[in-house]
Amino acid sequence: MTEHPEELLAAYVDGALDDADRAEVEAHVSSCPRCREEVALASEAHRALAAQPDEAPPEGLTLRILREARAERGSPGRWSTTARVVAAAGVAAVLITAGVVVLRGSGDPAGREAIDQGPAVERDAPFATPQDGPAAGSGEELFEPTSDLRTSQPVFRVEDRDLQPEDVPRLLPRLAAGATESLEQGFPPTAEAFFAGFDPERVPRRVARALECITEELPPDDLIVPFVIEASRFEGEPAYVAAFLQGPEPSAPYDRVLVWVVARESCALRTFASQRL
Amino acid sequence: VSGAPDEELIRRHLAGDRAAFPALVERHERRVWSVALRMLGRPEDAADTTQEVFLTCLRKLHGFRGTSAFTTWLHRVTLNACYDALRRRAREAPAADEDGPPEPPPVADHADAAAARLDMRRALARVPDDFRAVLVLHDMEGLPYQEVAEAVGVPVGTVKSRLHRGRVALARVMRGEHREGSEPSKGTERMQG
Repeated sequence: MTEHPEELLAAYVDGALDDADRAEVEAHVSSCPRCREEVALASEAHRALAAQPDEAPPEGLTLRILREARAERGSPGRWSTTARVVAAAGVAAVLITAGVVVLRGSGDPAGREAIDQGPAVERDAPFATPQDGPAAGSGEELFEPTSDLRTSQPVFRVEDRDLQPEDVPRLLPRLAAGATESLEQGFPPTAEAFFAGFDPERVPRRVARALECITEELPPDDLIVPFVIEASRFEGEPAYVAAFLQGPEPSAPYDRVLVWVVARESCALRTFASQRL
Repeated sequence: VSGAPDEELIRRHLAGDRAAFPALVERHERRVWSVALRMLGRPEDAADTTQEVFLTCLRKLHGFRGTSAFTTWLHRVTLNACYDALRRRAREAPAADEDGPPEPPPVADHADAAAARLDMRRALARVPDDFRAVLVLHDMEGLPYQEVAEAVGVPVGTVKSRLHRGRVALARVMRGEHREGSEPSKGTERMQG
């Protein structure tokens, strides 16, 4: 043993020595006042450090990091530009009359509850009551696209439901199934095709506003197509729940569906999930 | 995304999945923040450093080889960013740390706990950087010796001896015995046990 076995002393304080090493350290410590004092000091510090509570990062740090990350990767995206165009043009809000897509509960209680509450009625000021499409409140289909899905517009709907974090990944299988079905029925099959048919002038103001809010954090680029936007609540707070389709390239078919949940007031990201189509 | 292993998220990020990087940030932000705050003492510096760490990740993820765990690599990146911040701080205001980092007064409700936490931050700030890094990673974050060694880039034996000397130094600061030199973050040889 060295004169003052610091390495062993650290492991001794940690209680990580085997019997032989521990006996050796104890023999040394009993005859070495300096090491005896150090073991006492080190144990004290060890206990104090271990007793420190976790440090929670400040609110908004995630948002800040993701914004910086996005800024580093590229320019402002298509959707915030769209929102500005729409806002500047002062296009009157147009209700989405047909593209009502109802994500119905496929047996899970949260979804079922949402149905039971009936068609969505938005009570918050900025959102008019949506005009119910033909699909609302009828049938058991998971996802009922309408002919308007052929246009390059996200479907916007208002739901009177309060999602919890664990509900969000559960939306994915239904969204993926719905997306597949819509694609079969003519939804633009690639981001390129979507944007070819995309007309900012036709985006209703509240949809543009929603997109602007949602894409503050989502890196908007040519790969991501908004598919469904829902105004509802997340953990009791007004939120946008947005589903996007994403392909590996603008000209390639989508291979992934993403869900982002963004607080409506702060536009801060609350949670997200994704899965392969 | 949320349940996928780190390596899978990295692979997806490199393949262009835009949800993968935010998932990594969400999963590891707390860890990075915690190390940065404990190394740097000041929340505003810890926030800047946490952001810097993730931007570094974004730039360097393609170079991540997967030979070590992502968390080990992340700890290494975090420590390096903390050392950079400490060097900047030393350059900009060499005397500013004499009395430890300035802190806002604790919130009344949790005054005792908050005060104890600030005392610990101040005490840690007086332990030399190399010792503090090991104390933070092992005693506070709970990393085993081997992972600390990989994150710091020294042999396991060095980790253990720094750990011991760091604990002794910290305890002396906590007992108010810290007199010698009074320069918190210079040479590691200063704090002989």
